[in-house]
Amino acid sequence: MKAGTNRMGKYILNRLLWMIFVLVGTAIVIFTIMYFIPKDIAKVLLGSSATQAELASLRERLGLNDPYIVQLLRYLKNVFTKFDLGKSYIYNVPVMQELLSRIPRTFFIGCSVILFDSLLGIPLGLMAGLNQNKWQDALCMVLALIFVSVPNFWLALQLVDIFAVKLHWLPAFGIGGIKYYIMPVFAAFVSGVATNARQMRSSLLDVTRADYITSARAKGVSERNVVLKHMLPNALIPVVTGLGVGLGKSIAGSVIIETVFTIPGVGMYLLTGINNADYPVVQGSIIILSFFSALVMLLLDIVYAQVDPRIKAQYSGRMHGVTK
Amino acid sequence: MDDNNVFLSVNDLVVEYTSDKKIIYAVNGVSLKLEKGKTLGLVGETGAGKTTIAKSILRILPDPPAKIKSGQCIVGGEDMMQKTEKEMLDIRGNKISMIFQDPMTALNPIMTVGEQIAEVIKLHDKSLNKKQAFAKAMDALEMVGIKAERGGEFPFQFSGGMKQRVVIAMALASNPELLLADEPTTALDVTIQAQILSMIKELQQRQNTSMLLITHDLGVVAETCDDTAVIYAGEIVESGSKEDIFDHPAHPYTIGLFAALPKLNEETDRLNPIKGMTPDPSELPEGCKFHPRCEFAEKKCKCEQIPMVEVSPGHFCRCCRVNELER
Amino acid sequence: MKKKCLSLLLVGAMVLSLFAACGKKETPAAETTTDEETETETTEESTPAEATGVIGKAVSIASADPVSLTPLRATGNGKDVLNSIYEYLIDKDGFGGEAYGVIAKEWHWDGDDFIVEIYDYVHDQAGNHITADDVVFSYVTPQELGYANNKLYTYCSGVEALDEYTVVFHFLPERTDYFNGWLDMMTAQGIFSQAAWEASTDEMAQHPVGTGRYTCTEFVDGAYCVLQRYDDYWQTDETKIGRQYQANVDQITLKFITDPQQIVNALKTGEIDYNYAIAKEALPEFEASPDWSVAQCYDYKLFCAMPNCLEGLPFNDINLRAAFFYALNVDDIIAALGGEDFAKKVYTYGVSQAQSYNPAVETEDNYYTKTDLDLAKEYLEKSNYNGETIKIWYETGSYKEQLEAVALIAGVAFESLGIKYEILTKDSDIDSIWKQTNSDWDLVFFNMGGNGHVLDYTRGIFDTLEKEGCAGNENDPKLDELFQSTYCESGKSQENVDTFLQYITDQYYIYGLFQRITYDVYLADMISDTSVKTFRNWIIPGSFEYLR
Repeated sequence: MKAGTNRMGKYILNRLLWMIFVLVGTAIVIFTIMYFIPKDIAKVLLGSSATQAELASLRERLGLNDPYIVQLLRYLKNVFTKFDLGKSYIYNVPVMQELLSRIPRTFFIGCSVILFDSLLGIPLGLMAGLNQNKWQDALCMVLALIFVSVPNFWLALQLVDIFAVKLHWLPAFGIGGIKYYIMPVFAAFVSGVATNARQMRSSLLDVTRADYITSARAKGVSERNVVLKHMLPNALIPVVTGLGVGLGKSIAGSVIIETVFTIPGVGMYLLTGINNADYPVVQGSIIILSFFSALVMLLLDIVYAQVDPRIKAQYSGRMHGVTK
Repeated sequence: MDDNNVFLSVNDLVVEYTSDKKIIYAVNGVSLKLEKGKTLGLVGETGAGKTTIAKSILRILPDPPAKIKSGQCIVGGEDMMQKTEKEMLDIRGNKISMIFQDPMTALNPIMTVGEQIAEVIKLHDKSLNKKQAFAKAMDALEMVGIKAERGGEFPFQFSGGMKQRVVIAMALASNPELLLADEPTTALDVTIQAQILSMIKELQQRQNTSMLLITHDLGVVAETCDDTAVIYAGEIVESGSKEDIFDHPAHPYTIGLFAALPKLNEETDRLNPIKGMTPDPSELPEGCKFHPRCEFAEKKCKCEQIPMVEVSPGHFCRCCRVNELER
Repeated sequence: MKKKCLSLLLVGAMVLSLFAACGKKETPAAETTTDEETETETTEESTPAEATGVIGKAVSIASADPVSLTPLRATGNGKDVLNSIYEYLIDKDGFGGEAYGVIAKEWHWDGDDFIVEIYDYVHDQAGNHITADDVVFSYVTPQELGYANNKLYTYCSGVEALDEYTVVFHFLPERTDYFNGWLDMMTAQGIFSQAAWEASTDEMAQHPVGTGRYTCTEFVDGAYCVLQRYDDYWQTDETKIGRQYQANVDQITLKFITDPQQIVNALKTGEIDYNYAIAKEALPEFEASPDWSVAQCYDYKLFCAMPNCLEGLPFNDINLRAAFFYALNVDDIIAALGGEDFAKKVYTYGVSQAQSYNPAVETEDNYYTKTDLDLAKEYLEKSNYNGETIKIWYETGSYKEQLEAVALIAGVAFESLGIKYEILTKDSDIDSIWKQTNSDWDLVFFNMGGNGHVLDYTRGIFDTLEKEGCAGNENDPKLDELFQSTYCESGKSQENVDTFLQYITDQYYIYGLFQRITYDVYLADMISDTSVKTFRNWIIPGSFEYLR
């Protein structure tokens, strides 16, 4: 077993190294995109009544007069050697500092969302898949349909209206303790539940018809164990993949949730940056988001390897005897 | 057939599948007898109902579409149809085992082969702990000619032939008394086929297991079986010893089957298939189910339910004209 | 079949639910007792108050997130809060109000030099004594760091300290007479001490040290900040403290809320006590409730329509311009925006609250006071209009609603004259369409801000010193002459202003349409008056009148 964990460690290390490449690539791409947007940043920041002299001095301060490659290399050097994501053009506050205070909030919501999506979605899908075409299946699918159709901002505002304004049970917005996050998380995870449930149901149906399930029954495995030991692990594999996709969606959705509930998280920061043409903010946020996405993907891959031992076996290097 | 030695006796088994308001008559009054320690070959085309019969014996038919309407499956003196599910769990994999057709999909892809064999061992011998069960699984692997240290590998790391050996090891690990082999070599190439068959035969003889071998390949029957039954459209149309069937086929369908085989010692341009097609199991013909394709069919073939006729001791044929016709 | 029915039912339910979301009819707030609301908001506020040991008046306000409280910048949202922390040399008493000295005791011109003498007892919130050097430092440092917002080098060649309490600004010769040039400079930069600046580790982003009445004691990134009254304010002479520099409340909590609906919710749940420019849909509920007071405020941005008089374009012809101006019915626009409660008509290119506004324009007989379709058609006859399509532009940014209403009514006017037109919109863009010297546009709708004088609105349109583009009116030498002679310190007499505005009215160069009316909402039993604002119309919580 020690060899196995060692290989697993190598696998993780390998992935982490790849992640660095991905991040550098992301930084280059996003910097280039922002660079080629035909907007005069100086004018945006100083307004239309600025004189040429004022604009020139601002451009100098921001280093906008240097050629592309110089600006790019400077940016990359700052980001990856000094972890300095620059300062916001508008507010002159260091981007890294702002992001560090915001990241925990966004990721608390993001992780809660994934957690609830799996905890609710998988059982729902399981119940539907095992009872195909019976009333449980119909009920679960109707629930899933409702969940996926409700727009999350509408749901958020309705929740606020009921629980904050009318009942005074929960605060309407802001941050503080756990109770500030209850409604945002709920509004955010609802649609993901549906996706997970449907994926679970569909992969379960595939598995149910597989020959090895009949084999298992023919061996005398009880129905309960057929479901738990043979069906579920195989059916979960595509669902875990789906969780990765769901992460991407929840990051995108976080902007809406954060704006409605005024949670100062990365999503809202990015949106404000875009609206203000605040390039360092936009670039920095995207790099940080990529970093955390890559990290979560890595974690999911590790989970994947646990769920599907074939993947772990590939990395323990015991690959002999494929032929014969 | 020695009636005192009968181990498996299927009597008038009727199984229907219901799908989208249509009823599929899969098995229509099948009766079989298998002696202890012997092999019965069940021959028929795809869709004739062979697998259904085997699954009915083990009662692992998927219940919403499939329904065992009537019949008995008496194994070692006990009727499987009367057993509770709990009792069946003990019997499956233990007293009766089944080998499936497609080795590529018959094994759980995310469990090691050792674990899968150990699972069936542990299920039926509660006294063993995990390690012991795994050790016994290793023995089972050795028995089928696979090195024990490969027990920790996954199915995808084995070839088709090796996977089938694993399946066989899994089936024979608990020394079953009845082995249901559903086309065990169909998915394998010919050389491997020979290996597997001889291995099964050897293990069967060693453990005195009775075997119901389902196949569509007459060659396999010739190799391994003692008795044969031919099934068509959910009915046994002919049964008897291997010699009876091969040397003196009586039913027009059986005759047609043999006639369709290419002969090595003759020059042929074309094969001789049986004309027509297998009937749609949801709309079976009245009377003799073969009559639309039979060159000897007469009016009476359409009307009645044809009973089995004993052509010679132990050799039965479901044809109303069998005694009239010159062969 | 059953499945189809079920799915149809669900689709129907979804569609219905969409309608439920829009146009929610707010039921008037049930008799939520004042006690309950007081309860919730005092518990909110008492925690930070107790922490600092100050008990007393406190108010909560929704605000945009200022992110940084540095005195360096003037762009970005949430600027309002800076007014409570920093002070200028000179300030104005609200929009259209007179200038008065804050840190400056007195000032005068000496040739091209503007000399300011400051009080000798000014100190900041850290106790540092403010001298002329600090004033110079306050102006120069932002420029050195690349922030040109205080416009120091736009107007001046430099600034230096003459003695310990006297500062001299060396104005550039062409700027000495520049309209309100000196005043713009004096109100451009919050004063802070060099010592405090150098002691600050974050450029005073979250720990600002100004000279004003309030200091920031708590700043939670992205969530809220708390301003506490600074009791050792340097100006001890009550008579010299302007209306904008009152400190009627001990503690101000600014909560950063981004969603307009949430602001309304925050008012209702007692999280905040006051909000300016409340959403229109929520207004009736607050008006109906006795717990809330609603105060009407004017927004000093002026919405207008400007034709492109470039040669070769249709509107180069004065008759066509006149035709359009007489056909456009501003009352209809105001009705489209909700009526006189939401928009106020203007009668010249400027708002009535501004300095040098002459009320006589309201009784003139021109297109401002009447809509005359027949007269318009007469002008149309006289014009050279040959069936060209008029290209109309406006930006769909924050004022989309207002500009769309203008476009709608303008379309009606064109149609009644039989003029072909085409409406084009642009996302908010920094290069405003009316700054372009080209023939891509014929008519543009936009809004223009002002700083308190009626001539402020002309800046950037008729001002050849500052502007980059044109409206084609630089073809008119008389206009330029009038403008140059009026838009300067020496020429801004009432008579000149009247003449100039009359000229642009008569020449149909620009049509001032309306200004918005917004509503402040606040707790009736807590605040009685919120009318004091800065000259840029920013709110000053310290200057509200409080009942408790």
